[in-house]
Amino acid sequence: MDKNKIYQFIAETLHINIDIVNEDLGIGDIPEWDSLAHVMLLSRIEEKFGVSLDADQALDLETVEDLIDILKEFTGYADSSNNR
Amino acid sequence: MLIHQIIDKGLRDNSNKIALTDPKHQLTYKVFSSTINVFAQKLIKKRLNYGDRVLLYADNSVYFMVAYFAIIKAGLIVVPVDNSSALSRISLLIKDCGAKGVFVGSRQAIIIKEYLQLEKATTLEFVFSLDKLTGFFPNSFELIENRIECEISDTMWPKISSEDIVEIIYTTGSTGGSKGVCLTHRNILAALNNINEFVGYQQTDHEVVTLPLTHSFGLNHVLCNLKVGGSANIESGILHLKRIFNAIRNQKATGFPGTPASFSIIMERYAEVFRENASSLRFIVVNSAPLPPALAEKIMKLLPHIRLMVYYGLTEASRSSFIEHSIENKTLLQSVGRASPNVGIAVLDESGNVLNREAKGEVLVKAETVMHRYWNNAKATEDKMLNGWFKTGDLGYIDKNGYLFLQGRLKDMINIGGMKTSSTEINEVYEKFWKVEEFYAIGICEGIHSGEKIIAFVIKKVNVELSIEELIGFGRKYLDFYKVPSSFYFIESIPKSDTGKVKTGELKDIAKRLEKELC
Repeated sequence: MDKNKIYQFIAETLHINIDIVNEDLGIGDIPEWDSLAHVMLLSRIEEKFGVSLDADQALDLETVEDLIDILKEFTGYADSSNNR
Repeated sequence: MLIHQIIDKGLRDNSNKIALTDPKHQLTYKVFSSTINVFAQKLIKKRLNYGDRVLLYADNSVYFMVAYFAIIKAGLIVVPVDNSSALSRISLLIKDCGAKGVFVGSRQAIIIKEYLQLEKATTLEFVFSLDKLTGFFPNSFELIENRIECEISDTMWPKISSEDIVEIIYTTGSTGGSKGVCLTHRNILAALNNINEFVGYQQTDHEVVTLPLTHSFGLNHVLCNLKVGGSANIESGILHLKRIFNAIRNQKATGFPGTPASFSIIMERYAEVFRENASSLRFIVVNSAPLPPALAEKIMKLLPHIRLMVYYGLTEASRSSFIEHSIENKTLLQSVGRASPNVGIAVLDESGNVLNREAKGEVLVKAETVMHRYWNNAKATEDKMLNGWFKTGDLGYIDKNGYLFLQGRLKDMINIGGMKTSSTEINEVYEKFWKVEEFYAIGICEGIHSGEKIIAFVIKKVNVELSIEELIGFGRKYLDFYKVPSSFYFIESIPKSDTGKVKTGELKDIAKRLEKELC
């Protein structure tokens, strides 16, 4: 997954400038990423990347880095299923 | 008793017991008390006048509470301010209350620094930091850790009366200008007594408080626990839900107060995880906005062992009524309960006549909890008080059993050429439409003579198609013709305050702009 595309997705969803998006950015760091925006972000992640997050995965997702890791995990699953 | 004396019981009974924790710190009653004394002594050394105002502008933490008590103990008035307040609001509040000092967190320090650079004629004389800062404030002192023990001479402390103003809380101004609500020691203690009367706090209670401490809802829950010698864990909102659930489980929390918005998020995505972690909870208290009956039912079904309580109050008349919900009595899920002990609730018509049971009018409250006055605003105080009764601006009725049912705000009334409706009435209808996630209707003036027209803001459910024609059709089916909004706008979020109240002023500005663009 292209990191820049993920940054762009975060910026668009939270209505923020892409320049302030980095791996360490997390919920609560900026006013635009509050608990309500987080709920919207989770829904958009599922919609955009075609994944379904269970409650534990959603609870673990607090930063941009967490999102990158989760998407890697899902992509990994997809790769292994394609190889079968 | 005075507010800063409420920790005396915990201090006396078990001074080594943990009183407050946050994700980074924990304070025993002993350390909490001595740290308050050190902070208060620093303030007293500033030689301020009794009753001078000090802003408390910081994120939730145990040191927020230390500063809160220290300001009060030093004979000053504490002005808690939303931690996310922008520079313009901070400037306005400092000017309005003539603040002499401010306690800040590191995030808020940036705004204060900016304020000091711009405002040359400020009343501020000092800035105290609650976090370790870079040191750009000459008078700031560093965070004081858990090793403070000091002797303070009794003669140093100011003489404080229970009738003195101790706190000014500025309203969010969601329906008008922000006003400073002046509360005395007696007002706040009466509110704490009302909460305690209903919840029945015990020394063994421990609450996880995620609510902003700058509002009376969150602040008073922490105070209630301290008053009985209990304890509280302080979090900043429901941002880190995993940590919050862990805190509830690991600390064997007994109480978890929250807003409808936060419980809606929890129930939507994390209900099962919440249930797994909530076995020690004995009560949940909801306040700040109406709790939708469907959400109340969901919570009670998920956690049948807990007491689900709701109370009604405003900053100006805190904790006026209470109700403990029951799954067996669904009619009462719409109610905010019966009057608290020693609280009078009446419903008046437009001419000021007291209405009979079941008749709808403006809700008025008379109690020791009712504010002293608005700060610097005699006109607003006069407008809101009627022979000792506080006019809440809420519309509602009391049923034959004494239960209060709210039906919107007086200011939410919409007058369409003499025909009247309210935002609440329209919202309630549209919120039943399965394609609608959230809905808010407002009235804006059409012209000097033609009254108002109804504008609606809609958030549709994810992955559904919804057209304006469908919305009009739905309205025409379930509402009187004149109550169907004349314009609908799809938006991503409805602007709300920290406590979940819709910012109607902001919505009206958006509506006026959008309508103008259409012309």
